[in-house]
Parts: sequence; C-alpha cells; structure tokens
Amino acid sequence: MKTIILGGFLGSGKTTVLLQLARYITGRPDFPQVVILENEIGEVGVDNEILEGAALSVESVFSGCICCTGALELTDAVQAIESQYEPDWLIIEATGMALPVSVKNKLKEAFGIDSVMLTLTDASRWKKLFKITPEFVQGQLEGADTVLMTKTDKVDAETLAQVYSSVKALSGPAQVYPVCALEPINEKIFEELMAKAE
Amino acid sequence: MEEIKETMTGHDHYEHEHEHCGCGHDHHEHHHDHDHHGHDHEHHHLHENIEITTHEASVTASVRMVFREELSEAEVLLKSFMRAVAEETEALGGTIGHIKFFLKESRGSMFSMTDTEEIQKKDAARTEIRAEGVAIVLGLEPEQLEDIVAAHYPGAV
Repeated sequence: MKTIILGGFLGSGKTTVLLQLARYITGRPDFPQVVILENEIGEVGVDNEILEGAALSVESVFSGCICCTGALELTDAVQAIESQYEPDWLIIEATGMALPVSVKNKLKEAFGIDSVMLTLTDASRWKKLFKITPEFVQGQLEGADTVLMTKTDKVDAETLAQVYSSVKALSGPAQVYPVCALEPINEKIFEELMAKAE
Repeated sequence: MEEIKETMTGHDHYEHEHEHCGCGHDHHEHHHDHDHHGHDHEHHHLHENIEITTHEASVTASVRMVFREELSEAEVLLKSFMRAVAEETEALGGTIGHIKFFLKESRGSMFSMTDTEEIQKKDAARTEIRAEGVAIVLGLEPEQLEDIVAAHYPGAV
C-alpha cells in the first residue's frame, strides 16, 4: 500500500486537489484501487460528503487531529483500511491544523510506511498567515516532497513572485508549483509525486 | 465560566455555562435528565446543535441545522449565516480559518407490510433540508465563537 499524505492550511484547497489526484490515479491503465482517509477537526464531516459524492472510497476520522492527539485513531484507521480494502494507494487528507510530517513519522513508526507528502499553501493568504502564525505555516512545509501553491488566480504577479520566493525558501528540496486548483493540475506533477512513492 | 476538558477523542471540548441562560445546566453534555419545565427550550435545543472544540490555536464550532424553508431560501439563509460568522470573527480580531457547510435535501419514504403479500409505500409529505458544517477560527475565545454562531444560527430549533 503506497501512501500519499495531503496537507496544508485550512481552506488551502486540499479537497479540490484530492479529487483531481484521486481521479488521476484511478484513471491509470492498471486501474489501481484508491482509498481516502479523511480527517476532520470538527464533529461533523463536510469533505467526506464531497468525496463520497464522487464515488470514491472514503473512511473518516472526526473530532481530532491525527498528527498529534488523534494518532491512535490514525493507526487504527490505516490498519482497518489495509485489512478491509487492501488498496494500491492510500491518500490521507490531514486537517488544516495538522503538521503533515508528524503524520508521516507516525506511519513510519507504526507500520514502516514511507509515505510521500503533498503540501498546499494558499498564495492569497500566505503573507497574512505567515504574520499570524509563522512557525506553524513553516512547520506544515517540513518534509514535503511536493508543494502546490494554490489560489494563484487570486494574487497579482508581484505578490505571486514574493510568495513563491518565501515558500521555496522554506520548502527544502521539495518542488514548488504554482497552481490554480479550479483548473486541471498538470498530470506530470502527480506522476512525479507518485514516482517518489513507488 | 469556562473549563477546558481533555477527552479521549483527542481534542478539547469547551464547556461553559451561559450567564444569560441561568438554567445551571452544562449546555454541551446536557438535558437528557431534566424535566424541561421552566427552561428556555429553544435555547437548549439550539445549543445541542452547536459543539465547540479547541485544537492548538484554533477554535471549531461544529454546527447542525434543519431548515423548514424551501431549498433556495435555505441556501440564502446559510450563506447569510456564514458571512455573519466571518464578519464578526474579524470584527473581534480573530482570523477566519475555514467556514464550510454541506447542505442537502432528502425525501424519505416509509415501506410497511402486514401480510406476506403487499408492501405499502408512503412518501414523506415534504423534503427535509439539513446543513452540517464547521466554522474554524483562530484568535477567538471558544465562548466568543459560540456566541457568534448562536446569535446568527439560521436553522429551526
């Protein structure tokens, strides 16, 4: 079971990207099976409604963040998915308040899984969030394999260049791609990410 | 008065008694064992539909609502509610994390039988419109977010 962790701040477009990523994977010639593990910080689910409506296999963990206090729920859910579905791919959508690298580390510790991380940053809110909670938004980029800068259609060229420099400087060796998730994301980005997991 | 309680679910449930209520009950774990006399029922039922939790720097209101209006009107009311929560969050110096709701309409049918032959079907008289979602904010106290959500709650109680 190959695993992709999808992280990024609240409202950065994770579910929108996830829909595209899942469709891309399931559309491959070998028809791999994909299961999505959805983690919501609240007591009620919203994203799972959208994903299930798209005929995807979705399991949910509500009411806690799987990167920290909900770590037990994470390992239980992954174990259950593995035994119930035996999927080719597991995509874990973390909450917007999660540190994706913590999810990656917990999967490594518990199952020896080497997951790949796709992290989103909202270009239109990067400056504001960086000002409010710099350590946290930096922490969300830690360990990322690929970073998508989303909502690029909502900023001007100058701001986009500034945000790109800032995000790139904090993303280590990860590739950083500006995207607008409302449009089809270049499949090469997904292919590159998946190659890291295979 | 407030209390943060660590739970097995991995986050903090926020509890406080509403001074404007005065019923003395805990509004987040409540109301299954009292007689419902002498209390403001609407107030109680409203707060059964709003759950406040905290995680790190964020405060989350999980909200459930049922609308008696038509779908198009429910959508208008929901959007108006979301906008009001967003505006008041910023007015109080908070930051909007993510406010998102799922609105759905459904119509149920009952199936019944009293012998081995006929199954009767009875459609519900009207569709049910429900919305569920969250308002996740930063920089507000749990009580502040709960008061904002309660003040603008658009669903039936």
